[in-house]
Amino acid sequence: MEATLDCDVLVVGAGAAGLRAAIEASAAGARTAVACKSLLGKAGTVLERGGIACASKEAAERVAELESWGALLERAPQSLVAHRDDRTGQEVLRALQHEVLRRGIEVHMECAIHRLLLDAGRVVGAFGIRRPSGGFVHFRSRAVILATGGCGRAWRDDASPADATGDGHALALDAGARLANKDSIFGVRVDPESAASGIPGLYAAGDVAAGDGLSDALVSGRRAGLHAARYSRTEHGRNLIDVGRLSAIGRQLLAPLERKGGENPYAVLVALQDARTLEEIRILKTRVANASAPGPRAYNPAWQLALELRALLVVSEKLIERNTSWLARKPRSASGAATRAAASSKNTG
Amino acid sequence: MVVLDALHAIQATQAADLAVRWNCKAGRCGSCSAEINGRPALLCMTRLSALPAGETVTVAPMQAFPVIRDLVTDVSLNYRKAAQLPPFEPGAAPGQAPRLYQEDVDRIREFHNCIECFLCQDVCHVLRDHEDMREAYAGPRFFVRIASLEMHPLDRAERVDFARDQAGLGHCNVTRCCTEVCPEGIGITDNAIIPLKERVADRHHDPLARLLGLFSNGKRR
Repeated sequence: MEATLDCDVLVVGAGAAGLRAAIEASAAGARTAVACKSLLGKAGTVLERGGIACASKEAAERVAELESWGALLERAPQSLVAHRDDRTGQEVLRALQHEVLRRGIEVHMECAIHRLLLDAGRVVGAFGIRRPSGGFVHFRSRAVILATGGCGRAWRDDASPADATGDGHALALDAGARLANKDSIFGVRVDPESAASGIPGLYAAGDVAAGDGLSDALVSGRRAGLHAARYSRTEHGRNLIDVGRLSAIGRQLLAPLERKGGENPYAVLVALQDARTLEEIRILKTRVANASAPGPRAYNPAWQLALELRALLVVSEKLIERNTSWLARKPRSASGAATRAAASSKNTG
Repeated sequence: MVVLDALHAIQATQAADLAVRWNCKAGRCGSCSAEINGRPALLCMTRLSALPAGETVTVAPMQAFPVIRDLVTDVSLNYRKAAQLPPFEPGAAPGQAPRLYQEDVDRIREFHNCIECFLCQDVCHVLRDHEDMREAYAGPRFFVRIASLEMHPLDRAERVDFARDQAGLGHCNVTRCCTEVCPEGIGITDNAIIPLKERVADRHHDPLARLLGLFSNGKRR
């Protein structure tokens, strides 16, 4: 273990939902840490071109506070949409990033969370890998907020960021959370008021929680931060995870690196993105389990992808099981524009 | 096809562990900064067809930062610098929607386009060639940030003396390399650095302004 870190609330993901959650948790008095796969400020939120809908009082408050944190947002007269050119996501992310910095919230950049740690049914931490060194990190936290964004890389979506591998979906399902009961939107089911997943200590906000767009990310992010911080105050015992369990996870995560002569994870990814049937998924389970990554632990994208394939497989299987309406439009290999259109129509269809 | 596609093809076929940092592949996140044929550029926004045909394309990591592995560099210096800047200090009460005039917004809008790719930091010879300046000199990205705060109509913090005394603005000798490599086309030199230099000069080297300064305090625009 390269590091063991203690916090009250761990936020996984540093897009609009994650950073807004972190700000609220910290403001509520919780010792808060953020772990994100990319560098700070590089989250998929930057791709949000459209505006922020301020149809509710709460959403309007979220926009006003962004402006007080330095965001430049514009509104046409009588319009309920705040935006800045076609860069609203970038503007929002930068304002949140600066506010996180101002509040001195701990951010662990390029740290990928691969497992949640549960004790007696409660989430009590997470296990991750620091990408630059390849070293393991154990977060001991009283609550975890998943704000990992989408899962667009489960199909061939050129418009989907590298990070969108459905990590949060898979982590939540592993922990026993349920999927949202909506045919048209894929995401983790949460109580809309508290962003609680139903698994004690586990919260989710933004796209991973079947959210849609910046307004939802900000509103649900704040709620998740507030409620996770409150929950963390009721959890008095710091849970100690058995060292044996941690080393078992470490061995699982190292397996693709140590396995020689397995399949290239990039080839498995392409097959996974094309899979349409549970039979194909069944075969892919073996291929994912046998993928191998050459090279060292430090900044090894093949190793990272081999581990992300596990999450993508979980997501793909659920998508096929649910046979959601937009899955039918999932293209086998199409241009980015077409896939983007299909992906966005999931929210309106 | 862009250079990043070529690197992904190499990962898929020849060197699965080739390290390259990327996320959005749309020129918006600023992760995939590198040097292509010696020129700082984003891997996802440089078309192979725009490079000389029939010649080898050389891709190297940014030279101003320590290499972690292959094309990935340690850019943590920039995050430390960001943390050293005094934060936005609005006059309006928090949570209250401030009112801004369009002309004020228009002036700083381009600064907010910065995607923090750090290519301007990479190309700046003060950072690139002078190891001893790395901590003392903020660099173009942060002059842009200081300018965006200094010119923000609601910001109350002292920026001009900070730029001179803490950020090392005087070491910039206006070679415009930063402006040339900026993928967002931000007028780093003309719109951020030179106006900041002028404000420093007004405050510290203009005898009349200095005299008047005795009778005022706080931020000046």
